[in-house]
Amino acid sequence: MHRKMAEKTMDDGPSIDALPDHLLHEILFRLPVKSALRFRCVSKAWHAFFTNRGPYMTMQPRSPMYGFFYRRPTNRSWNYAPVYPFKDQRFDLTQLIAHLPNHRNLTLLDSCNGLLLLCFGSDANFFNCMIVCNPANKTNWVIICLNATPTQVELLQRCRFVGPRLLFDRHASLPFMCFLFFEDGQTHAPFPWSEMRRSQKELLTNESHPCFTVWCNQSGLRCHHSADHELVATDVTLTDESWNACTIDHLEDQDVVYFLPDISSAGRLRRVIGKCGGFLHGALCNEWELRVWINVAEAGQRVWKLKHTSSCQTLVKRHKESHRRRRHDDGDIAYAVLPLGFHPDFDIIFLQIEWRIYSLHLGSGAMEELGGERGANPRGERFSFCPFTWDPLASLGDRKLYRVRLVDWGA
Amino acid sequence: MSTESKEILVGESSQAKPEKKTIVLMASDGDEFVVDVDDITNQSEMIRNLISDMGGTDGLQVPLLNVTAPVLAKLLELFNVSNKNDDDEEVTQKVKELMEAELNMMIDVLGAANYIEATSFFDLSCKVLADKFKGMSVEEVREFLNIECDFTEEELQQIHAENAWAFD
Repeated sequence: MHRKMAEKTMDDGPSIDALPDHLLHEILFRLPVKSALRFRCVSKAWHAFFTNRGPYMTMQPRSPMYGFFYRRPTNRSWNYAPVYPFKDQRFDLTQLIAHLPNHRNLTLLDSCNGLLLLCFGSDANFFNCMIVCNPANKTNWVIICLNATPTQVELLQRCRFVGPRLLFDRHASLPFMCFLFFEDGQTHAPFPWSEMRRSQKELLTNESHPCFTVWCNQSGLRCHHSADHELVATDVTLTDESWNACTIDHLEDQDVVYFLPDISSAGRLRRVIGKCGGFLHGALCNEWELRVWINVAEAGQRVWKLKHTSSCQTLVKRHKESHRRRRHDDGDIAYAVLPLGFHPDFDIIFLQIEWRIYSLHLGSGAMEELGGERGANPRGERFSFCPFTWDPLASLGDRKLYRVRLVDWGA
Repeated sequence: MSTESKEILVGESSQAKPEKKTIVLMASDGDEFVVDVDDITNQSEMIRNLISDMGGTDGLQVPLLNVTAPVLAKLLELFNVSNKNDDDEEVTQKVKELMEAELNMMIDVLGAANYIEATSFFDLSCKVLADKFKGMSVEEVREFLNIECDFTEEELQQIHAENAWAFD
């Protein structure tokens, strides 16, 4: 490296062979505002750096989680529960989306850092049009028209539609991304990830498209990379059980999208996976114990470490203390503890017992009731759970209509 | 380990007063550098903490696994300059000279200073580099760091328009 420098003559201008990012950032931090603004033009990475960090930061830091929407599988309308420290702020989904076209007929699919993903129609499997909006901005939304419904894709490709997912980070200077997850239709039982690995991932062809889908079927793994986004599915395993989860490293691991096929909510084992305090966490709950793992990098490898265990008996006891049942009800009812999700900022996991929702602090074990419904839940059904962030700065770009070809009808 | 060992005594008076304590820094290729404890702890937080953790300096060898011998020699030379002068002017000048003459060596020295947590020296060197960047045009930066522009023409124009005053 140094030899090369010595050979170079001074007048052809020195250039740097390798400047590690952490050193570069230290240098960029020390630039005056004017240079910093000018250097936003250098590349997308530099633009992101200068819009997010340092004294010339033009945006506020990431907006925290405000609360969550939840609903019973059989219910159409969503309820809202706020979380600390936004206990006083309540949001109503019908009002949040009242400015959208055909808003009475919209169903919430997912949300991410201030944006909502909704579909037209009441069936989350039978839609061919989705809408993405920031409820804080009443004039802007994006419509995504698919040329097939997920159900039609299921039939044609012999796969199973697992669910949609929205990914967005306004600091990443990228548009939002939308994933539709399908899994192999041959094996309907819980799906070992090794099978899913031989999956096909397809980036939708239109270049300026904010929409990506992940396809999983039995043909070989096909991966399309575009210039600035890379989709990488990684294997997520925990102890001996496969998590059936898919993590997609997004922007050099600054953000990870995770997905757990619905299958796992059936049966005795309940799991959830999510980001908490910047780390990927996984929770597994059987009849006796809730166990939470954290995914950390150790010697260049990602490993799962057990972080927290709680006995279900204790959790259920605390639930019973606040919700006395009539005496004859009480006997042998098996209460299921159902993990719903993680708080992205604090060390908190959201749990459901019967139809009540609690937050459990992983450090102290403190449990707080947040919301839910009354009544027994003998079949151990799980609420649909959708975290909500209010962020007026989350921007969608222009109001647009995208057409997406999910299947090739001509072929 | 390496059989040859280089001795660089940092600080002029170290030979005159043999009771002064020294420790050994080992570069990645095994070369050993004997340095004065006071002089190095003055600069490096990492070594200061290490010494207090170990409870003494007797026979202490500090392996610096990602610092090569030439880089460590240059770093110690600059520490020496910095220790001899109360103000930073002299050492800033030296760092600037190094940057102009051997840019990549300077980057390596910067990395090494970061590694051993020589905070004030690191800060100073970053400032020197930031000063170099400050006056550059966008194209010069791209060329200097070998960065490819991944914006489209419209995107560039938009950023240009948003921050117009920064370009004149």
